[in-house]
Amino acid sequence: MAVAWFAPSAHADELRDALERAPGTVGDPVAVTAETALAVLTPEGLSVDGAMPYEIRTLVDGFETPIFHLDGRSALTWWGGAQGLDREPGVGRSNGVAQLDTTTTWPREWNAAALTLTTVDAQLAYNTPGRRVVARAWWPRLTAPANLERTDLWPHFDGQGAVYLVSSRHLVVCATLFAMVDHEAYDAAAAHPDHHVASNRSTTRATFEEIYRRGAWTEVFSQSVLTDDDRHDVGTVQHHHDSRVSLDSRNELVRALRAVAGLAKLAVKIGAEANITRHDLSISDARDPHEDIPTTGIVAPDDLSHRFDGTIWTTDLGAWTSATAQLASNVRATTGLRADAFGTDVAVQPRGELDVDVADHVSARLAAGAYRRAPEHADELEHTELHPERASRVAFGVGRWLARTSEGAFANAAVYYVDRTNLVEDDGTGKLANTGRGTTYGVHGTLGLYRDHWFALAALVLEHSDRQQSPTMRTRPFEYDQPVRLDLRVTRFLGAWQLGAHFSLREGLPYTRVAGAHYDSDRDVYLPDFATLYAERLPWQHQLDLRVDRSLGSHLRAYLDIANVYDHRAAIGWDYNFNFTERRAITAPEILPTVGLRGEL
Amino acid sequence: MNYALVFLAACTTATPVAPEAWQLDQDRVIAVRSSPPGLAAGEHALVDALIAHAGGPTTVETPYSLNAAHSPLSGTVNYLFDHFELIAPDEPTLADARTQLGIAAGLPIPLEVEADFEIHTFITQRRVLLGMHYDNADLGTIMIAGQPAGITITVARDSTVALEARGGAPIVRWLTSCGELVDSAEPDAVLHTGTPCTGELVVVGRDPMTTGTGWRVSPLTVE
Repeated sequence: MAVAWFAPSAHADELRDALERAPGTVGDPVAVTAETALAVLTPEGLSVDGAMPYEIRTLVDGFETPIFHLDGRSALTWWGGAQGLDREPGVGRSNGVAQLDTTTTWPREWNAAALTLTTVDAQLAYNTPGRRVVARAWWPRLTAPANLERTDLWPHFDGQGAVYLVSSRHLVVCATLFAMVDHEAYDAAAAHPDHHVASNRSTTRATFEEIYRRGAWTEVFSQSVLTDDDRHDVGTVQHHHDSRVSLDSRNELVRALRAVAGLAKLAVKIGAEANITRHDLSISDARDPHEDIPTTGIVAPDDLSHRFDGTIWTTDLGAWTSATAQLASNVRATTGLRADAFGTDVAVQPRGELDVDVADHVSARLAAGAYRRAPEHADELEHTELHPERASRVAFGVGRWLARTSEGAFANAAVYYVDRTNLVEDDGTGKLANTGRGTTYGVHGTLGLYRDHWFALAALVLEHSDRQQSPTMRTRPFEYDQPVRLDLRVTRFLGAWQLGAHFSLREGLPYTRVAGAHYDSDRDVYLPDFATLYAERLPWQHQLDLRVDRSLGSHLRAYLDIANVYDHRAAIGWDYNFNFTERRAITAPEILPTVGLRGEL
Repeated sequence: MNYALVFLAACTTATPVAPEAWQLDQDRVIAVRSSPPGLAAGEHALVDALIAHAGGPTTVETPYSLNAAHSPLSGTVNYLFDHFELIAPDEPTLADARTQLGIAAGLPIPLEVEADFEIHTFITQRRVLLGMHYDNADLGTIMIAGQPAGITITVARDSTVALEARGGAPIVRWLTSCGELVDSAEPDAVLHTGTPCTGELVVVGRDPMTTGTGWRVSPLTVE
């Protein structure tokens, strides 16, 4: 996991404080993870290693769960324990090329009830060894659609809870719950009904997990239910409703062996999982966006080119096996195989890792694997003829780690290459086919220092990512290709004070210039004519964030967080007038100070 | 899909980018008209457009080029001496086209035409219907501040004037070169007159069933 990669768990208190209280994030763990892992921030979510945001699996307690509020903020909290962005999901589990994982159980050790109040949210948490609950209300900062105002003042809600039902020497049974509720409505006092905009989303994920250990055997058996109701209504004729219920079951068996056939510390895993999902869809809207189709993001209010009403079932069955063995005192190898049946498509995905301890606290790792993504995103659901997308990834990295209690420098560097085939492409008329391919390669490096209550971290990614709609088409930049990403942060622990600074620098994302427009007289709208796909780039983005924390006794803490201190508002997109003759930059958020107070009982 | 994020990305500005669709003081096409919009077999139609100009009054212009390149009935577009005309094919040809396009007998055949005005400055598209005669849209009763609209319109400065277009085309668009319009795409719009000005008030009506289009241009004085 990326956080563990940067911050060894041995320094749990100060290093974890440094990340939990990262400047500019107001305690959003996903924002911190995205910054430290140098993910590309997009309007659709996070992009990692040339993957579309919907390819990044966001897991809560091991199961895929929507975690982003309507304003883009995540519904997760740090108390939830392990949190990280994994570019190389395990050899067996997961069919995503990258995943963002959070675990409701195993949180930070503390035993109290805590109330946190800030200028943007309120959070109440209760934590004991056997029970954990956190609930939060979050007031989003959103700019209303043109000429409209938000007509309700409801905050967004989210919460997580976990309880250990049984805990004995051999068996642990725990139940966890994740929930998120959003509601937004916009209107104007004298507006016609076709101006109204409303978005509603409610998501729950309930998971039961049984962990049984006896001797060399460990079995993890999990069942989970997801409900997700996502509704958007624009005006009187456009709507997009997706009501989803998903059942998951997973069973994994691990057997640790001392030595078999000359292999030391052999551990064998075998597992299987099943998912069945029901989508109730009611869609009357513009066509869903696709990476290979340029768009201005502006949708005509009468555009109903995408209509669908019905129920779609999807089934995914997966099984995996892997073996990890110590080949030599300093060499550990893992090989594995995962097979997935997405409906009638069967995919076999071999994966492997080789870890070598090359010196004291210095290790090297070579990892390679194949991954498949089922075509179950947005309107892909309506195209049963599509097949899974394929990705093959190989990475080599070297890292220096800190011992559990020592101070000093740590670093790692990795080169990686991802080859994608069978990508789902849109021919511009709504017809989808697996004709696309893509390539991503780059280098990812971090350098950290933890000494004398100072924590400093620098991370850099240099990356190239391209796509090709079909073999006969030219290769062009990937929609979220961001070749340079730099992240610098420093934290100073000074008695009751914690001072933090964060600077990020990122090259602008590609965009497609509007070269002109033509007029559709029947609909009374102008339709844009685009220049070469993704041939232009937005300006560079950079910002500085500062944060000061102060403990006020043993039960109270206050902080001041200032995001984007020098108020640099780089363009992150373009808004156009009705006939595309004028444009105006959609900018990054302005300077945002936040004051917070946290009390523990 | 994280549909919400896509939606929000498109809605992150509080005011529309100027110039807006209701402003006449810009170079743009306001509407393209076929007279008539629905042609019975053998019937002729003319195509023209109402065009706005920056710093000047609106004009009605005929197309520089006209084609229906993507239709099996592309021969409907004809250049006659110095202008374009649409000439609907005869009944057997229309019947054959209905068969090719999978359109039931007796229903009109949509024909997408592309019309360029002012030497490719304005590229437009519109639909005409073949095989059945329709007339252009009627604007109904136009009311300004509760009174039937005259040939010229005079309103007071810094006032709020109710505009109504009732009983005619179901889709209405108002445009002005004086003041500011609210709800300009509704039959009931509001004109905030602002400072003294001389210009035009335009109302365009559309009927999506017949593709009929009609407009009325009135001299407007804010005094």
